[in-house]
Amino acid sequence: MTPAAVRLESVTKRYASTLALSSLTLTAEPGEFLVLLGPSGCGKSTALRVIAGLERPTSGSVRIGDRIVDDVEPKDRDVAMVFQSYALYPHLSVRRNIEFPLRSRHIAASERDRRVTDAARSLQLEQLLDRKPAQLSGGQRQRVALARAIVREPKAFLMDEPLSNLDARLRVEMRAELIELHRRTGTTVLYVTHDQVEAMTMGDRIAILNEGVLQQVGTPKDVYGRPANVFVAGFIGSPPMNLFPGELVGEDGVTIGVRPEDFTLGGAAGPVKLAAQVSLVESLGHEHHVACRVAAPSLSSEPLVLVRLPASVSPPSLGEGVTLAASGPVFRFDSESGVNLELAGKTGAAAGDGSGFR
Amino acid sequence: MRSRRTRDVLLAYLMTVPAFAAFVIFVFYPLVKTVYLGFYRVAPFPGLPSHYVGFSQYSTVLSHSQFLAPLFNSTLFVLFTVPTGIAIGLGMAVAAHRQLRGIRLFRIVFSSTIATSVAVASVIFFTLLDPTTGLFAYWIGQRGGTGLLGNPTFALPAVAVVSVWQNLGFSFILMSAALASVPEDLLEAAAIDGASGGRRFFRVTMPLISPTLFFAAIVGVIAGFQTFGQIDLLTQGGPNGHTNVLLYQIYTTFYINADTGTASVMAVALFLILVLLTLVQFSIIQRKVFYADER
Repeated sequence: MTPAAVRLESVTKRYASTLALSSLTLTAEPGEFLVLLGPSGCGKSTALRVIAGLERPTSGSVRIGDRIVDDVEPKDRDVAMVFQSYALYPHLSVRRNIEFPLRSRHIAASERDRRVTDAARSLQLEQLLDRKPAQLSGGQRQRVALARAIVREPKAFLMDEPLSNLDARLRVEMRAELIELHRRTGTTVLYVTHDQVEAMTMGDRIAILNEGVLQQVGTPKDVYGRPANVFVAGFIGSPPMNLFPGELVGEDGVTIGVRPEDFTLGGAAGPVKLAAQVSLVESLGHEHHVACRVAAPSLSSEPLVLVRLPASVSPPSLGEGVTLAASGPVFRFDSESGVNLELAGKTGAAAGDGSGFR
Repeated sequence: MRSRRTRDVLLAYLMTVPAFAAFVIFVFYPLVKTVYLGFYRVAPFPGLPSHYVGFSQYSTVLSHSQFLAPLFNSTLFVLFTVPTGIAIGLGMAVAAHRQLRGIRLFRIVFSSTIATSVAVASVIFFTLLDPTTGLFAYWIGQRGGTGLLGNPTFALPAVAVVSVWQNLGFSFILMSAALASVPEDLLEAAAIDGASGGRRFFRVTMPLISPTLFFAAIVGVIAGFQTFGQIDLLTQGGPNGHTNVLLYQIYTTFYINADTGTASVMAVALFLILVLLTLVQFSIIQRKVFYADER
């Protein structure tokens, strides 16, 4: 099956009183690994369910390949979905679980066996085919769910937080396996997560949603290096970008953003220079996190700024007075709209239209 | 001085005494007494002494048509009521499972027969089926005659209908609870996996609710063999013994004919039949039933 483009066209989904998706337009190109990223309740899972046909959009339409699928049943959309809960059939063996989509489509037994064997081999499930899901570990169940998805050879994979129920070590392992799987099959993947590390490491592109509104679409490098607005700036990056009022550096009406790793203590001249006092030092071994309270006589409260220092630098002591200087990029956002002022003038860079950062 | 452990053990036994006593007095003693009564043949006229005949009474009664005919009727009755009761209850539960406007009203109506008793159900149907004044006679346009309850062919099915109707509320509630326990994401996964509505129901829903179906079947069979009220109120075993089920036969033998020996033999047989049926159902169906804790 050749991979297909999946396109949402101004899809709005409204539940009784809440707006889950607000006029979302988004395309996953054929063979692309597109990550939908956002905090819980941002509408990313709803978007996936709309594509699968489990939810009907209030308005707008969905296109898979060159077909508009708004009136097509989930079973006929030819997409495969991996659920957060895995949704394995508990009464069926691993083999029957993997076969289920093939039996539903009346695929001949010989062909079915070949495909199940292939899928089981590629996910190292050959030894487990006769077990029930209850007899499997979390990681094994996850692999069965993936096998059930790939055995279909569908037009696209929809994955709804597939790794969030695994422990940290297994998650890293499965991440690599998923990337490998995508490379091998070349199928379009729409991957929902709230974990920015997953998004940054796996996605060809990342679509960031908040409260049902698309904030930015772009490569991991784009969304990190050129965040479209304050939300994206604060959401991508760990620890998150420092955001403080422009008044501190004599620029009114803007919010200033500096990433923790782009601050140095003392020294160099630059546009952003802040007098501060060290209030917390966390040493993680490979780096130090230093929280500083900035002296701000003009503001009602003193903003806290986080600085990330390499392990080679010896951290300041608690209560010490320091001067913070930005040694890397300084972002400026409109304090009203939150839009990145540097990008605002350019076409398609504004938040929410979905056409930026292709 | 006694150790603390001994005191705990004694206290534990002491606390089981009330339950144990109730079991002995109300279950174990009557059971033993029934078996015992089965060994004595009662004289055909009151006042004469009954005398010990041992197992010979068991073999004569159990091979006689006064036992075999009611056993056949009971079996037929169970076959009429249990599968239909489960199927209709499940059908209504599936219909009411969807989130629709005003569905709560239907759920209340569907489960309402649980609030009726055997007597109420019997009176309602007795009135409906009355051959001269009943609504049923009016519908089929044929008044007078024996009516359904007096018809040798239709009497037992008619009583079965009353039982099914009366148990429908229970069956509906049971099946509704079972359907609600089926995880939504499994059905969604099956839908995306290409399964049609029928395949989703038979391949996913049915296996997952099989413990409830199994429970309903066992409870239904036992209740079916213990049917008494409907028979007593609607047909008294008639016409000509066509609705004379086992429990009703035991009742008439014991209270009307005062033949405690024969009645006891049949009661013991009914007990053993139910034990056996339950064991058979367990062993056959357990292999096909999927329990959720195996997940």
